[in-house]
Amino acid sequence: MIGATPRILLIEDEQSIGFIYKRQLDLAGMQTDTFTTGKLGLEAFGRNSYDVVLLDIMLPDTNGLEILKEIRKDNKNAHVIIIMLTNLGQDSVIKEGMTIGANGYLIKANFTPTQLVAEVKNILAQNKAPQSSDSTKN
Amino acid sequence: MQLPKVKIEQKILLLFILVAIVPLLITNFVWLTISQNQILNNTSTLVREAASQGQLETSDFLKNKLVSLIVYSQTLPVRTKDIPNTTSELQNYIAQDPDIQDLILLDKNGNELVHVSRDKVYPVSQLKNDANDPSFKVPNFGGGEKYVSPVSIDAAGDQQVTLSIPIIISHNLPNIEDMNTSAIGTFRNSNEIAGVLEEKTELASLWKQLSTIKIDNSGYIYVVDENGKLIFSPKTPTANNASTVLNKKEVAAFVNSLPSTSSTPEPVANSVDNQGKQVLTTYSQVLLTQWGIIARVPISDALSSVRQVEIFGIVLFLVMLIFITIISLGLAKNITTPIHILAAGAKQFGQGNFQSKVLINTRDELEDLASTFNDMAKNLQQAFARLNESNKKIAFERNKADLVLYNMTEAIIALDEKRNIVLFNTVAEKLTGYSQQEAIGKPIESIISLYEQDKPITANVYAPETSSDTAPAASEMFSKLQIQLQTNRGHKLPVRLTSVILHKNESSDITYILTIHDLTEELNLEKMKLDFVSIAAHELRTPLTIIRNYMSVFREENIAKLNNEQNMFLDNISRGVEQLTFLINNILDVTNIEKHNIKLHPVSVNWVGLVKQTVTDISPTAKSRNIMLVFQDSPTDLPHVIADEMKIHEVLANLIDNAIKYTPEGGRVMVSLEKQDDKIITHVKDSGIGIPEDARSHLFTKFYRVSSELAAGAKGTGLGLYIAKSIVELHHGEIWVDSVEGKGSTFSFSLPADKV
Repeated sequence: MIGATPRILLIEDEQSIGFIYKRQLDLAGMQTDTFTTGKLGLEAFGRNSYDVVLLDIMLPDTNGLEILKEIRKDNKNAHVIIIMLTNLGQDSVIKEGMTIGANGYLIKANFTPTQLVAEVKNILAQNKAPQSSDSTKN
Repeated sequence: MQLPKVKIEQKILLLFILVAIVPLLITNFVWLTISQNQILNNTSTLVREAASQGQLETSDFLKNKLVSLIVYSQTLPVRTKDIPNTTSELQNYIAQDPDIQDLILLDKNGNELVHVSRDKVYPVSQLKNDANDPSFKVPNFGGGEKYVSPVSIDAAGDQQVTLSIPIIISHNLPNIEDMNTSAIGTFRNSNEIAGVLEEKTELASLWKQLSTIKIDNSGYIYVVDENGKLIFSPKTPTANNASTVLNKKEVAAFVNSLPSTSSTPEPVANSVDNQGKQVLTTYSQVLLTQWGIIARVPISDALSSVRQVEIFGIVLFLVMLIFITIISLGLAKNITTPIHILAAGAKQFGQGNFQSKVLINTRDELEDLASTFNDMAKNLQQAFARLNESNKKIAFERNKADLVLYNMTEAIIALDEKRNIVLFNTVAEKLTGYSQQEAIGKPIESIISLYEQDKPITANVYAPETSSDTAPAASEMFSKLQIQLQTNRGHKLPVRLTSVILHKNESSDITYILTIHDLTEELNLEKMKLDFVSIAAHELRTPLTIIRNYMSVFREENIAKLNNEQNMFLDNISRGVEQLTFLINNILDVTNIEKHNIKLHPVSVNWVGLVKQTVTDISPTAKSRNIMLVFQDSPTDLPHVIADEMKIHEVLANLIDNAIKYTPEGGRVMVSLEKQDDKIITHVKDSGIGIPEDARSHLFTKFYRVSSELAAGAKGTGLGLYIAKSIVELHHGEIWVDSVEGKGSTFSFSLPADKV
């Protein structure tokens, strides 16, 4: 299933942030689809097959945790890597998301786009190799 | 003992009765007793006189008949042959006395010689022998020459008695005219020739005489024979009852006294007869017979006059009583009317009507009293007027104080020495829910309940008991922000309580003054502020992220093209962004702490490992500032701690960052661990300039920064230590600082060791 080009689904309501993340990810050789609402993002997730979902928690139409639940509901999506994009001061949300089934989280204010790309690459590498599980940065 | 309430009228009436009626009653009683005795004595005399009279009349009746018979007998012939010729003479004698029924001449053997009755001369053939007749008896000469027989009933049913005297009857003697006196005497003395002259006489005329004898109203006399049989009584038809033995005490007394009974009456006996009547009685014996004359009178009879006097006395008493009652009531009214007027005046007076005057013209002490009373009313009226005036002044002053007191925005509660409420203003009513009426006089603790973090605060804390000498003039005893006041509806309000204790004061009973300020509004504002800060911080994150992201990408891609100055610009932008991020992070932490949004997830943490790792992570920063950062490893194996790893790591990193920040270049920061009981203590020691003594107590408060030349160089939010303290305390640990100015500071905090 893993092709040469990893496919990334980025759901982020702030367009300028979405733009720079997509730019850096694509530059690093990935194919990124960006959506600003949960609804559009979920539709895209149904149409296409993604390796990684970068999921903003605060969305205009829904809570990122709901999308997380929706994706994890279907067992055939178990292999999809989901990383929460969070803001500062969202400790409780992070904890909840991790228990629901997120593979990791990134605090947007603390990570530069380059660091983000490194984390995504890192986690892809971990999942490509002998199916070792989750864990990103704490 | 409580005396019953008695009106003056009643008292006067009582006095009059005591003074007038009681002596009257006593006199009456004594007089009645004396006169009763006298009357009894008089009646006794009457009784004796009646008995005596009865006896005399009866014996006289019999004596007269006998004497007359004896005299008559002298004229009778004594020779037997002359006797039959005497009939006409005997008839003449009978005719003289209507009582006489029969005259009979008998010899001593009882043979009738001549028998003449009132209407008849018995022929010789009808003459008989009377020897067996109970009335026949031959009286002896020279001794008892007369005989009175017992009473008998004649053929006509009348009571009669036979009187007998001895006579001389002889066959041989010469005529009596032929004998001289001495011869007759000699003859009489011879016993051989004797006869009897009998006179049967009726008693009716005697009884008629006796019937007239009366004693008082119903007293009378009656006659009994020696056996107690009734001979005569004015009360009963005599003859029929002649055989009855009377069952009466006085009769028995008479019978018992025979035969030596006196003809003078016995002393009077006072006794109760068979019918229960009290009677006075006496008796005497009739001469020549054994008859008893008995006199008898009921005492009630004798005392009837006394009874009349008694009735009169009672009537007199009642009349006197009415008379005295009228007089005494009149007199009492005379005395009490002015008193009533006085009382009415006093009542008016009591109701504040000083104008009414008491008018009494009795020309006595009461009039003086009324006039004194009127003077007093006048004086009092003036005094009242003055009092009213000063009261008005006082009230005016008081109103000012009350206006202030009751229009304050804070609750004011004043307590006396015993901590009972003496003053309770409007806000206090609003805050506690109790009205002033409910609160005044009650102990403070029954009206307000205060809590500090759900623990009750006793009155002893904010109003400690005073020893009067030590209490200063007015000192603040207690002031506490953020305690809770429970209202009477049960819910709790956040308040600030300030209490002041007063010096003992003669003119007031207030000892404590409590000021309670409702913090609800302020806390609401505080919350709004926190909310605002929180929202602002959240909203700042996105633009911050944008700046950061774009700048880092821009820098990475253009690093080769930028000159030194451009790089320096970007460095400064980066540092600003870093500081902004740090600041926003801290602000979010603080708001979370204050909103109690922080929840710990404590687990067992390998503390030594975490500290080592942190020191390693921060070492590059220290090195860049030419500061030596050292972790002094503990000699023994320390146990894990119970902590939220992420949070406690923040604290540790913050303390180390601070230490580096406040240590001059070339300085040294040392981190060490120590076990104390069941706690692990972490020390972060720097060789900085130290913290001034007066700053240490504020160090862990919000936005506090030590103002020193060094702090000016170091950047900080002033929130780090506050956050550190809050997090350590959430772990049930403590945080503190030791510092020597010029030599450095040591920040320490404790964490609970994992017992496993």
